[in-house]
Amino acid sequence: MAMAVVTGAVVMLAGPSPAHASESHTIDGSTYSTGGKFYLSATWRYKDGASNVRLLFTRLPRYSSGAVDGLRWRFYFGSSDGYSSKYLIDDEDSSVSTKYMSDGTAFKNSFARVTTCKDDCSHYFAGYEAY
Amino acid sequence: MHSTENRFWRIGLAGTALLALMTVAACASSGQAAANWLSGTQASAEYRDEARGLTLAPGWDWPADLDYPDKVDGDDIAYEKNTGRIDAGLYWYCSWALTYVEADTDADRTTALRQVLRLRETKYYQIGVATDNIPMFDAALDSAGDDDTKLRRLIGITCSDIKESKSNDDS
Repeated sequence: MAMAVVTGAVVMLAGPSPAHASESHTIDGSTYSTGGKFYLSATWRYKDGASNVRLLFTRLPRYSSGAVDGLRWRFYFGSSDGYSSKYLIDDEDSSVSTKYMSDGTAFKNSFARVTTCKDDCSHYFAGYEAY
Repeated sequence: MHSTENRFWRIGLAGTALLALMTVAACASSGQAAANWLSGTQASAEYRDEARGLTLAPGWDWPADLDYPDKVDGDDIAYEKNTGRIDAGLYWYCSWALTYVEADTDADRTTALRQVLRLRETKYYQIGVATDNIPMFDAALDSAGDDDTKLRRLIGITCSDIKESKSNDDS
């Protein structure tokens, strides 16, 4: 119930504009059952080109009924700059434009499911992050 | 309104769906659950344990207060295992990297560079950097002896936060 992992290993070219070389990276993991409890990934990522980071999820956490719950997502920039605002993602297969970052910006991902769901719920998510 | 854009995203979907599913399946072994995430206190303990084996550049000290709160903006937060070890490795590397950039003498610069080139020995490099960013690190390290342009750019990217924090602490 409390397992959560974010991986990002596969690189694909996918970007909103050829002018920005942002690459799309697979991400997946699982949240706590407690809504609003954030995980902070240990992985540092570095922005390639200046643009908004985009997220697209093919799978979001779900209720026991199978209905989609959402994710709250934010970025961490280190102790000096702290966290971004929170982004709500509650629609599968729709890309979401999030934080604008300049080339080389260092960041980590942080995420939580929206609603507490303890019985027969899916906490998994999977998708892509273009940065 | 997303149809055109989604075609871009979906280009790679079929090709990577299997791998993604395999990854999710691998992550789904519940035995890893509790051990993979830490409280702020546990992340700080990791950091200090890792720091004990690392020697900072002259004039540098380990941060007195580590920044692993258990709540951010009112929300509970947990840290992925190895966060503290990775961040300690980053701090160690940046102590030497910023010393390298700011060295006044060739001797100091040479000494610092020797330590910077040990970056690959750190948890930060080994497990704390996104896989797709590793080529940027390798290119900088591999060319540093002949031309340090890429290394200086890497240092600028990776150590800006620590440089800013240290400036604030020193002032």
